[in-house]
Amino acid sequence: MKKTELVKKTRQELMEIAKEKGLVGRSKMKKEELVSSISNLLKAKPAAKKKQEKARIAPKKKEKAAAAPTPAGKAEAWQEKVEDTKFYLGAEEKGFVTEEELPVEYGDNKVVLMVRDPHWAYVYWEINSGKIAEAKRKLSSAFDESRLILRIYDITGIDFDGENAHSFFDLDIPNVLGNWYVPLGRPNRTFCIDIGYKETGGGLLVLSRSNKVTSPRDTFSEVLDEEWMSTEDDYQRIYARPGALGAAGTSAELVEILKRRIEREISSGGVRGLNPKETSRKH
Amino acid sequence: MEKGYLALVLHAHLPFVRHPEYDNFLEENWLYEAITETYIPLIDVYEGLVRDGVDFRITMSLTPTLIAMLVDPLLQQRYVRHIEKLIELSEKEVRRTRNHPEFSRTSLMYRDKFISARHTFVDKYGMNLIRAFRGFQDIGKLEIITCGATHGFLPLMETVPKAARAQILIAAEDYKSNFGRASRGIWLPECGYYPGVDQYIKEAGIRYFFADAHGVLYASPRPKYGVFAPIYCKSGVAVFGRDQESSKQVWSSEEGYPGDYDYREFYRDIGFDLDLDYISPYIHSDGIRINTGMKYYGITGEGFGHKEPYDHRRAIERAAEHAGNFMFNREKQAEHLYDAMGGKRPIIVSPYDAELFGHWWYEGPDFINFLARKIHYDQKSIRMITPSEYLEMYPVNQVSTPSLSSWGYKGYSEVWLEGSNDWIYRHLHKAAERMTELAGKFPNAGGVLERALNQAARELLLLQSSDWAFIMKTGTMVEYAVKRTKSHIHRFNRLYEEIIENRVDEGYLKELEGKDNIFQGIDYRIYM
Repeated sequence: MKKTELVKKTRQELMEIAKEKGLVGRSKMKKEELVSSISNLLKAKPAAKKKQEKARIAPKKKEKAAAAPTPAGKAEAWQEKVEDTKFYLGAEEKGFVTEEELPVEYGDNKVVLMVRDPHWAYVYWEINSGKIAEAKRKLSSAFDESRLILRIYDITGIDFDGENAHSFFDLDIPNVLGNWYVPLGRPNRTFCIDIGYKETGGGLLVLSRSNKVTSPRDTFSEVLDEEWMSTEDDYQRIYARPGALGAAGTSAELVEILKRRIEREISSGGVRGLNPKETSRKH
Repeated sequence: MEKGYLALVLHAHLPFVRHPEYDNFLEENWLYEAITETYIPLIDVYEGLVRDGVDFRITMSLTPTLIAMLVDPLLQQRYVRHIEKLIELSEKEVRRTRNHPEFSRTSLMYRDKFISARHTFVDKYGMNLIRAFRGFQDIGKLEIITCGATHGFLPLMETVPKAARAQILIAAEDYKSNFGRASRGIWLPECGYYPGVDQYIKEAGIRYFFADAHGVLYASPRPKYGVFAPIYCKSGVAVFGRDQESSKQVWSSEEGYPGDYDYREFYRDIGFDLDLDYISPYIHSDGIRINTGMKYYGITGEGFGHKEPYDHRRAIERAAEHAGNFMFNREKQAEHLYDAMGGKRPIIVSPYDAELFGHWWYEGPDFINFLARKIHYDQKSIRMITPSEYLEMYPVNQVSTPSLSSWGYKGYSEVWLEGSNDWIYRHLHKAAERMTELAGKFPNAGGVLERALNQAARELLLLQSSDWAFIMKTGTMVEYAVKRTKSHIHRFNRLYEEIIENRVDEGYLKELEGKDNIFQGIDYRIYM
């Protein structure tokens, strides 16, 4: 239960919760004290109570059989909760006075793409009135029929000229000022986004083009070349002589050993989706 | 000869919180609590190890914001006021619990610890704890490294590269002015790395940084030794990967040490448990109940039902057992890896938030104390090491580019980029772009204009602390994080407009210089 929900309750309701939770000294507390004490106690619950993430577009990801360890684990959730206690004082300063509100817009004409994880990106945009007026002129009567969209291009390894993307998909957006989470769906690929008016005939009038981003990997690299470096002599490169590194076997062998080790650790800690058997047992 | 090495890394950080405009400001307690419960206990542990001739190595990142607060005279004075209040409260508590043996031992413990903390802070180190940490570095036991200037999360600054670069270069300069030499390593804020950011680390003259396990395991080409040997970015900067096994032993909610039922319960504090009349002089001056740091109960069991009184002696024994278990697992791990790596000695990198030890896990500093002693006396398989020492021993390493990663929940950027906090980035990026625009327009500013430009840089940096987004996400002190974000955006934008329109309000500038007084020697030209 969040503090904002507690505030809405009556003192009587709060007293019942306080009693249930064994809150000491509850009968002498004012409503505000009850709220903060109960929320204080509720925070002591283990990380299982963590709020669920809200994605604006529901991801339709298939549960993959694990080829590699996923970094998302209970330990990380717990770590986050513990880091949070660094800031937990039991109450917030009430008297802190700050200045005015933020600017709503900056008069820019831009779209900015940010990577969130191997499958998702965040995009925010702002199109100024001058640019919209220009679009209206260019599209004239077709303007009213056109839709404002984001076009997401996969431009991995390409010097993108607007036409030569591997593929793209469109998302309708409601406003010339806004933000959105975009399901890229593909790790280790390069993307960029156009914002523009899509005509009924299919043409796109581009208002602005974003920066490029590359989604991170979610598994081991397929590249196995080994290059070695020494930075001892002023970062000067030398390559290791054969045998200089000992007979550790091939890189692939070692990674297998490490991988098994990590999987063993993680499966005992319960990372969802890592082991298909485990997943089916839980559901 | 040992089979492998343990690099224990403690990341000490708090955002810059300093409110001279208020006599009491609640969020300043973040610092005071961390001083009493983490920084001073760690210093005590290090002192004891040195005194007893225990050879140990710990790597500690002290962030520029934390250092700025630890050397700030106003906050130093306020800490003394804070600890003296606590001593007074603990003396009352000793009297109150006189006839309750199950609590009186604990109240005596607190009184002794608070008195000792004051002594360490005031008498031993002249109110400046940086002196203490520097001393341990000078004798080779501690390797102190820097962090992003204000703990800005770098992967979300990729589109404003000059701002990412400034986070690193300003931190490197700040380190030099505090420690008299260059920092050898850097803890990237939130362990957040994106390919390319290493070029700024190299430019700053820093040799290595850390990445989370998957950042190194998913590096390309595939690292031959996984996380158990460093790799070099193409820039020549070394990367050490986090070991998952040792972090899980501490962080796991089920199996992690800090959840042991004998340890102290964090959430039962007399600030909430005792009568308001009695406790009111020691909580917030407006009568708002807050944590005092005096807690009498052990974790006892799941949830918050019945709690047993805390038994410190038993808890300390438990910390010793846990240290023994941690060491045993590292020995086994090192022996296994030594064979798997064909006789190359692995480095096991175990990084934690420093404030975990003491503040959350009350017995954590004792755990470190026992661990260092046991490793020194009780076994031969592992040795503690700093990353620099390991690089001297093994200068030849594989070249590979780590993958974008962080140590946050789910391993990427989602903690700092989600529904609660994504609104800030439009403004953060705009401010960064404007700073570069200003630096380009006024490369030779002097006098008031130069001061205004430098202050704009300070406001930008303070705005970029990842803590604000983190707090918005976790929901603990949201209002403060939102207000701080908005006020730095506002301050920055006002300075920007005044500079552009050539009408700097010197009175306002002076006010900001007094409040947000971090990085006295900053030069805004770094954003050019």
